[in-house]
Amino acid sequence: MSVGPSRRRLLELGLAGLAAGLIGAPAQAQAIYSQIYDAKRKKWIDYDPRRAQQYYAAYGSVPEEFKRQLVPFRTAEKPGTVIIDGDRHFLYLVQPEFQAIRYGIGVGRDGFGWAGIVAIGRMVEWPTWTPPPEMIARDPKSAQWANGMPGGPDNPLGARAMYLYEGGKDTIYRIHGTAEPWSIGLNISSGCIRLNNDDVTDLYSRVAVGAKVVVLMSGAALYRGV
Amino acid sequence: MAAFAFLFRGIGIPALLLAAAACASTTPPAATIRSSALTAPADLQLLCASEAASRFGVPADGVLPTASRPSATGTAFEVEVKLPTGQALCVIDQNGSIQSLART
Repeated sequence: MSVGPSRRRLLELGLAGLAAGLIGAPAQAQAIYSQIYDAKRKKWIDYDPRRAQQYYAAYGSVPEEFKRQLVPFRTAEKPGTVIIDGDRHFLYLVQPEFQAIRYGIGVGRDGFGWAGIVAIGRMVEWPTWTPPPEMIARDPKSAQWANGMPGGPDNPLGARAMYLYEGGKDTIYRIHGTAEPWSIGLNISSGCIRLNNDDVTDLYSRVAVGAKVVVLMSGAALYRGV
Repeated sequence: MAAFAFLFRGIGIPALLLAAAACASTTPPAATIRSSALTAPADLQLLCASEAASRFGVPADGVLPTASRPSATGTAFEVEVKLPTGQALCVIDQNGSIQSLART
């Protein structure tokens, strides 16, 4: 019996979700994405990878909203806590006095988004990238790095990586840099949270192993434990 | 008319040059990005989660906002909160005041 593309896709996403420890709705599509205002056409249009690359090529940076900035943030979470708003593509690092440093991020593409409460379990500078087996299954080109791609400017994890743990175990998700700085603001990853290299280096210098990380994303599968 | 011609000669050309420069500007426009659906700001979602943990006497690490949207009145947000057992619906206004919170 053949398995149709949509059925195969659901199975693939479901298996990836199970491998990552997701519960709830592992194959549920993520519906919220960024839009950019087109002044010529006077309408909002989807901010997709092609438009993101065009914007970055034209202005040499991501849109202002995704640049690092200090913002008001009313929370009882203690300073040093990381809050990720996957719907709005922001990562907040809680500061004293009801403020936070806000960074622009890229998040999981459709079916790869997730939500939960985890912690930074390990931190690495210029990390080695090793694609997990399920990623190699989806993208055979990544097989050449099955034993690890050394850290460097072309490495998909970028300049820094903070490995997210839950209950003392690696979730397989990370907060990391990127070799594609234009991709901030997009639903583009396999579930990891990406920042541009300057921002991830700044974040890395301000957080510590053990820091609480809250990931919010509407309708996404929940990481087990929540 | 003579005054108009003077003005045109005096500031017209620089103005045209400025306008041309503006057209060729590489300065990105401000406030260009939004999300395809309006959700509650993260801090308001977390205020709801914190209040739910306190009010229902459950561990805060087992409480997570899972969805949010503008309320029907448009002056507040509805935030769905997952509890260790069950769910709750929180309505919170833009100032962070919780208007209601109940298990669903």
